Amino acid sequence: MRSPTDQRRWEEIQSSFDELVELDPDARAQRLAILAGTDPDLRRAVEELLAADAKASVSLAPLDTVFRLDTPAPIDPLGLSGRTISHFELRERLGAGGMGVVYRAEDLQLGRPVALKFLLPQYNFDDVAKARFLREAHSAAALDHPNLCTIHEVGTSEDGWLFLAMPLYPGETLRARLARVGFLPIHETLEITRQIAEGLQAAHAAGIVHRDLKPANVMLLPDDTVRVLDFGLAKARDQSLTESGVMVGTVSYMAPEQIMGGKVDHRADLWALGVVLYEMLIGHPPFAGEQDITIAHGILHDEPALPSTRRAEVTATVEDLVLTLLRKDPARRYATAADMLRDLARTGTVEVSARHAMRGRLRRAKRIVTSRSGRMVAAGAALLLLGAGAYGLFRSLPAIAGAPALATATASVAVLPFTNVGGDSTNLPFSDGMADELTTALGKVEGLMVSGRTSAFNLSRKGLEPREIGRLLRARYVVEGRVTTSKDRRRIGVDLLDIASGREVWSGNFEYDALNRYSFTVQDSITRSIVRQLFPHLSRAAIASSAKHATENPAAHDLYLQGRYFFEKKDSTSFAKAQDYFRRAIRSDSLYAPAYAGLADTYSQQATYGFAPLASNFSKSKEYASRALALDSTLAEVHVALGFIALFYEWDWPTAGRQFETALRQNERSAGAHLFHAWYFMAVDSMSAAITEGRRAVDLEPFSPLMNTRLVGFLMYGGRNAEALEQGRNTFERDSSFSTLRQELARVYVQLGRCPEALAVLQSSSDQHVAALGGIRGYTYAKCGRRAQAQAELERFRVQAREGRYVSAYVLAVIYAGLGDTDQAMAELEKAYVEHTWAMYMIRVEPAFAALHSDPRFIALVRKVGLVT
Amino acid sequence: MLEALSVPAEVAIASAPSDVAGLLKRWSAGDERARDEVISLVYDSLRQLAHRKLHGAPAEKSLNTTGLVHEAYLRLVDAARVDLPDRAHFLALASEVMRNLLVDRARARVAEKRGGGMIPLGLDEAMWIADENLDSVTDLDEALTRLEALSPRQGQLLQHRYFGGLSLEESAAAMDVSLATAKRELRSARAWLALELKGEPIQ
Repeated sequence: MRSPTDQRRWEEIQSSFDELVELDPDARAQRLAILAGTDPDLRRAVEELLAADAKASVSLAPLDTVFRLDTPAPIDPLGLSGRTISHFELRERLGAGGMGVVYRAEDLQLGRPVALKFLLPQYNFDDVAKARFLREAHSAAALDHPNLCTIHEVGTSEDGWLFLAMPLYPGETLRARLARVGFLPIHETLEITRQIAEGLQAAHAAGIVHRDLKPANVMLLPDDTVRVLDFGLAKARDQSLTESGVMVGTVSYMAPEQIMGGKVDHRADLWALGVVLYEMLIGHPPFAGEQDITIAHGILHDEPALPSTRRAEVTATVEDLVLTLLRKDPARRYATAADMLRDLARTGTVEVSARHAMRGRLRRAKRIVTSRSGRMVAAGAALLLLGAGAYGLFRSLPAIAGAPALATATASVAVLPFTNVGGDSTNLPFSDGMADELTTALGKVEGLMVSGRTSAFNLSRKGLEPREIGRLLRARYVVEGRVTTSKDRRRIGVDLLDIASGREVWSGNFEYDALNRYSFTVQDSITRSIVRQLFPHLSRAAIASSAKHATENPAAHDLYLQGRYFFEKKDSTSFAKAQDYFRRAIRSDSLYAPAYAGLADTYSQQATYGFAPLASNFSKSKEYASRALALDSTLAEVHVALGFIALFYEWDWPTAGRQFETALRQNERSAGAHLFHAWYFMAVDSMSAAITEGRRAVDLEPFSPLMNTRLVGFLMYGGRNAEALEQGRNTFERDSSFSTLRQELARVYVQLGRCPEALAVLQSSSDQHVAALGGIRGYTYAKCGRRAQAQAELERFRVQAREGRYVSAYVLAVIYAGLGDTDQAMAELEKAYVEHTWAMYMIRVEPAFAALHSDPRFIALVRKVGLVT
Repeated sequence: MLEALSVPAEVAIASAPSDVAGLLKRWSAGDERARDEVISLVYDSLRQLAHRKLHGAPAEKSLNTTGLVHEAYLRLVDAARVDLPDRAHFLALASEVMRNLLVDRARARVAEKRGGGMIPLGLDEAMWIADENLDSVTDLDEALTRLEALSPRQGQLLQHRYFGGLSLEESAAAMDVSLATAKRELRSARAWLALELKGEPIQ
């Protein structure tokens, strides 16, 4: 029987856990195996803890709702339906708000339909309070104005219910409108503002303050009339509740003096009008946050972000008007609604003449975005120049803390991997794939900046909160979702979060038959909904273009997603599985170009990773890539596949360069295409271009360990070791688990003559791939005076070769070069040439071979590979 | 006319906010009595708020610990005059009070069901926790007590999270540790808790 853990033991377990939880699965398994030898109990505990950690967010989720008592609103909470109260016969409940329940009713005296609002029991206070309420309500009822809700009658039922009788207005509330469309056109915004202000002016003149003006209290009628509801009710409510000290109402619309419990007059309504106006313009209130306290703090202390920075159409006059309404000190706001209306009238006339100019400016801005993302097709020369200028500006923006400088003028969104609820790993390709597809589809929308898929996925897998991810990726919006698969149904929930306000802008739930494994309908409606939220004015056609599918066969697509999923894993069994899935996808739809491209990539990379013989794999790769090309020559991935073959196998640099350029024309935002383009520049000895492309790849995928590591390499090959070191260290600080990064960093240290650091950084690295980089450990030993250990590395590789495992001669050449054994190094390089090792095109820039450069055998070899000197 | 436009001053937040801000300052200066005073204010405030919530409008009828704790903060503290460490200390304290309130009520309900009720509960106090969640509350409490024995700080971290809804930043500030430490310790604590609640505690 094992003993329960005590403090010391828990510390031990925890420290192993902390270390292992950061590692990738292979490294974890290695460390666990070592632990098993020394302390099997510790290993078991850590392993259990790791497994629990992987599922913690799901298994602990119920705790977040344990204390929540969400009772669904009853259909007829007061039980009044069907009863006759006073001279009203009550029908069904229409809705409920913070203060009361509204029923449809029939006025039996006048024979007309009305809305009856009953105050909820807690507002049926004592007699004094009741009298106060009735007084307020009566004075509100006395108001007769086209922009105020008419109150027919204020009454008390036989059993003491307080109620108001109002006309039954058709239409929707401003809250509902905003929830539907996000924000409103400028002219509509100003017209609604005008009508609210007219209503306020009338009420204020009668000495009545609303105190709770908010979009839910503004009714938009079908004839474009606006009516403000619930005038005067808030005061009676607040007075009664103040005694118990409960704060009611929505903080977002409260004026600073209301929050501080100070003197509240009609100018609090003007503040609220400012908030409502702001929200109509921008889509959210000026002060936002997850908690009331955050919002309240913002209202008291922060200045609102200028509306014009969020929406270019907002003119200076409109902006001044909003900011005057939103002054913290009531004395500095407009003195009356009438004053504000005078300014508004001026704005209106300015607005009409300015609108056309504005529209022109907008359109131009849009084109710039288009050209930057490489999707512009036709435009005048002047516009082209403008576009080029904008691109240059974009590129030169300083990147803070390694994050990319994404443009802020357009909407930016990051799509997180969907949670696979239930954790059944067979659904992973689908939940990941759904997010993948959304990333791609949204990427086709003009003006929408979509964060790199790898970065979003990596950050999410590290357990970062959506808000943090949005901030790191500089994305204004984050899309997250959940997939639940049961026996026969598949449910997908998606949320669109606004990082700035912390609000959920949109959320949708979809459910369909799980036998149909993929659903394009669901994918398209998610894409469409998101695009509509972000660009309410985008045309239907533009939205539709984001929904072009390479296959209409859901089964084929599902198989394709499985293939992509395994391809990304890049180990020998996964490559085989990926091939199988791509093949099955092709069997389902023999004209499915991306599946052919996937198959082509799988074959070529399987070979470059050393898991399969080069010649046969590359010839298959070429065959599938050509078929993909014949099916669809507009796919970036097809050109990347062809470029890959030309670069790594055919050593045909001009073709490789052309293919990558074509791919980038199809999709400028493909980080992978930029990466390979950079490799190509190494072959043609243009290291500064390689570095530029490497940087662009990092811009697009700032949190991809691979892209960041490759940039370290490009900088080092380019002889920019100080920059390489900085890039390497920054990447290492963020994520030290990527083994290739350790090797690249070690090489940089060796170049800089900093042996202790080079050796330290290699300490826990494992040789994952047998390709060129595998010899770095031996090379480092050799260059750092540990010749015996370098020899031991050589011996280790020889043993591996004798066991029948593939050991690239290139790896041995690197170690021999490190040991200064020029002859052996040359001999191994010759062998590598005969083997046709993909890394041969790097020999000229490889620092390990610098000492060989003057050797005639090396010069001849460089010529044979076809590298231009 | 002017007279008609001016409305008498009313107070939206009842209790004198400056008091609590002052108490927090005194407490952070080492005055433990100030802490006890804050606790009793928070206790009353949370009970009142929960009561209001449960009798409130349908739309507001949801009792969640995070909301209550933050609302208590809003009521009791003058937000403008309190900085992050004080706010964090307040919220941390409130999470402790919240835990006591909930766990006491859960225990009393469980005892009541077994026919041996000791603390008589008002109707609304019985509504605090849904029947099906009673065990979750007591299980969580017991697990946290065990974790506190192993690592007091990790116990607190989880208490902050589940009973007070503190953000990681607030939790770190309340315990005066770095954000990185709080993050690291929360991760293993959560994994530990998951095993514990599954009934497969780590040995």
